[in-house]
Amino acid sequence: MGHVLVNNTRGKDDVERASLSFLVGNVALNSGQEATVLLTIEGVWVATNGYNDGLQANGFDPLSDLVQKFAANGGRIWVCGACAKPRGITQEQLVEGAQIVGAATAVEALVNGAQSLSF
Amino acid sequence: MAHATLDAGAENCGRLIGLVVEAMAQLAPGQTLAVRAYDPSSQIDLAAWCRMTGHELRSVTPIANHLELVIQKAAETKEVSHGTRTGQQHAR
Repeated sequence: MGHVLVNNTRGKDDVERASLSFLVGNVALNSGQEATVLLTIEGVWVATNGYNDGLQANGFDPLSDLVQKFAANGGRIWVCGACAKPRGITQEQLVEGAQIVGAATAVEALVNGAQSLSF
Repeated sequence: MAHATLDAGAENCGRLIGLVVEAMAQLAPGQTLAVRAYDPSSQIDLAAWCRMTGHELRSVTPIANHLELVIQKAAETKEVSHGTRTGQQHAR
């Protein structure tokens, strides 16, 4: 089993990129792979409760559905601590399955063989 | 004759895989699913998906304006990891 690490930097500023990140993550899970979405920069908002309500990119399922399915199927959502802190985002505001992490967590995953894809 | 049929319409990419995953879950090991797909990319995507999951893409048949892809469910499905990592909370 491989580990697919998808990096998303976007929130409402580009819902398509955010949606594609979770779509790829869901396909990885549905293909028997381990999957993590690493949210950085504005992308950290995607892991906060209620933020995705009403957001849907053309041709994609609603972003909230994509995120919910990803978490429900065992996908990990890592929220960049360095990006969450200046935005006032805390662990208590995050959707289930999301976790604030630091760079070392992502670096460890990469060192251990995770393959990354960025949107 | 396949054990089950899925009309995927024009869906592709993630939605196509999601539909196939749901349909395959209803089958017993060794049974087959016939997928009717109107998006040409379905062939290369489902072939890749089968390689990763252990299922076998038995045939791909062009029929008029769509493809019929027959997938045989693996004897032992590669399990999806449902583990959730709970690491320490870090901050810069």
